[in-house]
Amino acid sequence: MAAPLSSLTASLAGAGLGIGLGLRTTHYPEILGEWPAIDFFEILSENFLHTGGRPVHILDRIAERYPIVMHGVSMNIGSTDALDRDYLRELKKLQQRCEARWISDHLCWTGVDGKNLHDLLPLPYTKAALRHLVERVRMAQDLLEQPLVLENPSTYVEFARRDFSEVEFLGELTAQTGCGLLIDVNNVFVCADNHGFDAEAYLRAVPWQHVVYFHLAGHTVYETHRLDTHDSPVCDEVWQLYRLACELSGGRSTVLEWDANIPDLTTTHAEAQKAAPFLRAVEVVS
Amino acid sequence: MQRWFAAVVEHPRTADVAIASRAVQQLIPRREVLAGRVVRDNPRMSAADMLQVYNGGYLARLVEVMASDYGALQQTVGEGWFEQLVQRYLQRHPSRHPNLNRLGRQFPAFVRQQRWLADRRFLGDLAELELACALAFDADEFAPLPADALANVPPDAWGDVRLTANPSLQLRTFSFPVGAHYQAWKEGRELAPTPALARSRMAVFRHDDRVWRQQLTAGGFRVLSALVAGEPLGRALERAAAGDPVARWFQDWAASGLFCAVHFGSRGAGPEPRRL
Repeated sequence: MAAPLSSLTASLAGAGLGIGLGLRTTHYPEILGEWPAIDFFEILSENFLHTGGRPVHILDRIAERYPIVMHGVSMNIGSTDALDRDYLRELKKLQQRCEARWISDHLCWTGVDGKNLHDLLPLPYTKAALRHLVERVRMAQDLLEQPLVLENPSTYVEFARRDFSEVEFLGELTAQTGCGLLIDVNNVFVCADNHGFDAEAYLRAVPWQHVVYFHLAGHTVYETHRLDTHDSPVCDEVWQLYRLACELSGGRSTVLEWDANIPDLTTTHAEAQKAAPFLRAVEVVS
Repeated sequence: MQRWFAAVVEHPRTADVAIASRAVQQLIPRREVLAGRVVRDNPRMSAADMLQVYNGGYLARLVEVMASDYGALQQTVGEGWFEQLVQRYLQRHPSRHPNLNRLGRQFPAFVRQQRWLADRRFLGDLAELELACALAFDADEFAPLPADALANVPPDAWGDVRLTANPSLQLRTFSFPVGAHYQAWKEGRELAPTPALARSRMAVFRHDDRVWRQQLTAGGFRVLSALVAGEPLGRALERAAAGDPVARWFQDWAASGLFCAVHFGSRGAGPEPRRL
């Protein structure tokens, strides 16, 4: 039974964008030359911030033809540094420029003392961290004048002190801030294997009424852990989890991320389209 | 906790070495980590192994970013030396900006300061050229001046004409002929050893969504630099030497889209640059 949407996220998830792709520069010639039928594109926000050159020029052309959503990696929402208001203002300007449907980032921190480590670093899921996050998500939402959408990250470390599991933490955060969620199904699988929890139980505990969209991606398997590399097709186990996520949510817009060893656009799109039967099998949010 | 974690991630050696280092232990003692009071135990990996995923990923990711801007330099010094160079650079100039395009802005100056690096002056020049290309690629988009725009300038106003340069235009002087070295790298040819000292000057700019490099003579460089600095045409031309092919320079520069607006000084102005 699919969960109803919260009123705040309904306006976002209700967009029902379909199956999109992460926009990558290697695909520009095919996109600009052929304007293929792709439901929407997700841009990496930072690639278009503080630049007025070719990247933004090309984005303008793509945004004229396709719906855009924004996905960032530097909001640093979990850091003990002050929120970067200039960064948030730039995000909003970019959103207005490309008419992006929503702005997402990660449940993580990316730096401290002004440094940006350009990685999605793990948070301790404690009551103190929750209070910190709630305050900052509210501040970010006030500045952005819209609900923020946050993604469950891939992690390789769990902290010894914790009061919540990750999915419980997400539940508390959404309940207290009204923020939306981006559920990366691959990240759920990678973390479940790295940290030894049940991925299906995680999905059953997700507050689905807050979920705006899904991510799918490939990862690399090492002897000791799985690494979220976005360099290969989605594995069978992740497709099975995605089927469950569709059943539990009633279906959401879905983005395939592919960031290394990127195949041509046709191949990437074909991989993303494997999500279609799962979405068709449930009542797609519209 | 975050300062400790960041110090482990950024450490130039491994997470294991970082945890044991004095600086990191001032934040959290190693015994706390070994006792499992910081990071949860994992049956397959030690705390240091888990943290190493982040430590190793940090350098690998940023080396890749720097190599995308400084590919010729990387091939010239070799991947191993390049990684060492980037590692030292990151310790001095850690990223403080969300856009990774900014990460390498201080790199040419840093390279020139590395006394341990053979040919550091040549390598600094090469890095400077690659930075100019990156800046040109990233600069604001403007429409170039239409071909007939200068035809509207009254003959007696030519001396007062001021030109607005294409915002992507980068003017550089080098102590070495790095242009040929860079071109060899672009074409996948074998790179020659460090060339002899020979002053060179170059305009780097974006036109029709491509980055171009144009060698300039000493006179051409002086005139173009004066125009970019906002000097009126008459004064800028005084910087050319007798016999310099000034008219041809202007034809080349205008055809290459190096200007995006013309102003007639106190007698009025042409249209403002048109942002695309």
